[in-house]
Amino acid sequence: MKKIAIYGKGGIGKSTTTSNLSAALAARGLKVMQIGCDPKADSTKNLMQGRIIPTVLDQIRQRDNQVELDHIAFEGFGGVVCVEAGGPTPGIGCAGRGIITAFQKLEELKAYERYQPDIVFYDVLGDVVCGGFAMPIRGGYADNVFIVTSGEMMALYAATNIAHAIENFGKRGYAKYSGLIQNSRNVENEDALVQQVARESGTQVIKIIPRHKLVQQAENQGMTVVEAFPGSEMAREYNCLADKVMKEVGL
Amino acid sequence: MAVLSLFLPPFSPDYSGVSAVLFDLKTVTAMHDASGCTGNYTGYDEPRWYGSKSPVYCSGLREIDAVLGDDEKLIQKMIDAARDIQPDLMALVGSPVPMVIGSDLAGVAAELEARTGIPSFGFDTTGTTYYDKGAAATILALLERFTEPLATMPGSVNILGATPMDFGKGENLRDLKKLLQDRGLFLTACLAMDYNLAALRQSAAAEVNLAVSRTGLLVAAEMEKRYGIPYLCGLPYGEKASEEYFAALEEVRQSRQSRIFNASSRDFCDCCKLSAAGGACGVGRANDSRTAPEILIVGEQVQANAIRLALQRDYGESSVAVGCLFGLEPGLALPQDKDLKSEQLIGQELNRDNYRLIIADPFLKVLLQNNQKEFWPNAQYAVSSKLAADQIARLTGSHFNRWVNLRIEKTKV
Ligand SMILES: Nc1ncnc2c1ncn2[C@@H]1O[C@H](COP(=O)(O)OP(=O)(O)OP(=O)(O)O)[C@@H](O)[C@H]1O
Ligand SMILES: [Mg+2]
Repeated sequence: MKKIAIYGKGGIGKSTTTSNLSAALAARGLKVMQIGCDPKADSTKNLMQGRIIPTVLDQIRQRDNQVELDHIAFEGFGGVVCVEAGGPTPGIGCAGRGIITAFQKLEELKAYERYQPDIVFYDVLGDVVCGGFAMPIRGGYADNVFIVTSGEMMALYAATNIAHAIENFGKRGYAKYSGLIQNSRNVENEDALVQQVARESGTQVIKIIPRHKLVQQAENQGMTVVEAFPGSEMAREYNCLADKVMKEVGL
Repeated sequence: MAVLSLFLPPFSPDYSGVSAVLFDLKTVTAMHDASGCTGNYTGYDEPRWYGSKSPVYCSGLREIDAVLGDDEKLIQKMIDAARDIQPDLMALVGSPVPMVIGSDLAGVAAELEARTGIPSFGFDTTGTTYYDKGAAATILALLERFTEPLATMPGSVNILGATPMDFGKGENLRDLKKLLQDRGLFLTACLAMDYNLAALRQSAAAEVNLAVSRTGLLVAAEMEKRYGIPYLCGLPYGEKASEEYFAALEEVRQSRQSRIFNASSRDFCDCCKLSAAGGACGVGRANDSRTAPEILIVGEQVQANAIRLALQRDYGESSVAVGCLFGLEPGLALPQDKDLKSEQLIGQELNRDNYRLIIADPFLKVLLQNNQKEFWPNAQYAVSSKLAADQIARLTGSHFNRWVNLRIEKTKV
């Protein structure tokens, strides 16, 4: 089992990219699990026919902690096991601690043992604002981290910060930083800008994903591009990303 | 409010269990807390603390440290302590605040080890579970780190699950060691009181593990998987039951099959010649007040079981229930046993009409409304700490019979 964390600035395309990756790998017969680590809980919706599934934290709250795996894990496209950690109502509680609680619950319910996934993706909220959002890269969780970025200043700035955080944890046996995924926004000179940031932080751009209108069209049907338009050029791009990721994590 | 304690102190928590296991080793132990938890451990959970040199520190966690998560400060303090003490290992022990802010003490320990070269451990204890869980996790972590499989040494045993929370200053353990010696057995390691790193390393060579508490059982089950050492879980209390205990130990040595040394439902039901599912002695019918058990032993489960068996074998007491204070381990329980999760439940159980005799920590006596019942105090450090340390009963072997006889005589007078 390989565990992979996907980080990146808010709205940059983490969930879209991760879901397409999951779908592409599932279509090849691999058992995939995708865990959304974001109080918004919309990471897996395009694997679930547009449905927002109940979150781990909601279920803990509603069922007075009598939660079973079937209450929080749902099979979507290609048998991808979808989980949303969830979080408190905006403005109260502690979202970071929530991620930790959700992770502990998955462990307690032996989720990884039951589903035996070949690959687990953690789709993590933008900036690593506190300890809880670093949980997916702690010892025992993700083996590799990829950061999604575009050529926009703010996205690159966030990517650099996240890379720093990972580096700071280097001596702790945390996940390995494995590279940038460029999700293009068609800004001027984009490839070169991203390339430069990769060089400066000692990493590489593993794949450039073009911007494409099929992404929205698929999304409108509650699907990934891989599911909705499997023969399309854009689906091929995501498949190519899947190859690169697999190679990078040694599968 | 069902879990509120009005009369009883909180029982020893997980972080005390961790620290107690590390106490004998040359360790720099730091509790990550504002000092209340450290004080709780050193002041109330650790009888060996006063006068000792064991380096247990408090990280002095303050509001701003919690907000900023300044792990570097903690690491630096540990490095400074290591320079002075030159420890064999270091440990960071969690408490409620690190739990709430999600500190990764295992991660910090890994960094500490990378920077100092000294084996370091982080325990994500929270103060919300009991000492036995913390102690067992720590012994297992130490074994994982320091103990490689070894060839078996015939006649050698480990004692597993020895902590001050269950054994105070260890009188019953010393008596047990003497009994083992008398029978030509020798001790490899007593985990985790009166041991050192060399003994820990040797522990994989033991022929049999003797689990003397629930902590011990948790460790023994894991050691059986890792090192193939079978275990006997129980304690030799009382003359007749002790003979049986050592016979059982011989059997485990021969068969290599682990065994929980305990009364069985049948032991009790033979007395009334009925099926185990509902004999007149009350087994399996604990709610029926006419036939329900007459004696209640409250405390640590393995020790309470040993008292029950000894009462049965030497005094013919066939109607005894055990009340567990720290969670009920199913493999150690008989049908009439109770999981007493809160002060309210403890009080309810003690006051049931069917019991004529209660054996429990003296602190529990305040919950007893009816002083017609007999009460035999047997203190446990995890409950009453040093305030009743003189009432920890000496029960190993024939000491048990002396203890009981003295009480029976008192009642007659
Ligand atoms: N390659 C692409 N081409 C076109 N549109 C895209 C592409 N990638 C993402 N998008 C669009 O960008 C929007 C944001 O994407 P997404 O929700 O995946 O971002 P996110 O990083 O997960 O956001 P958040 O931080 O809010 O979780 C979506 O509406 C999606 O359709
Ligand atoms: Mg998202």
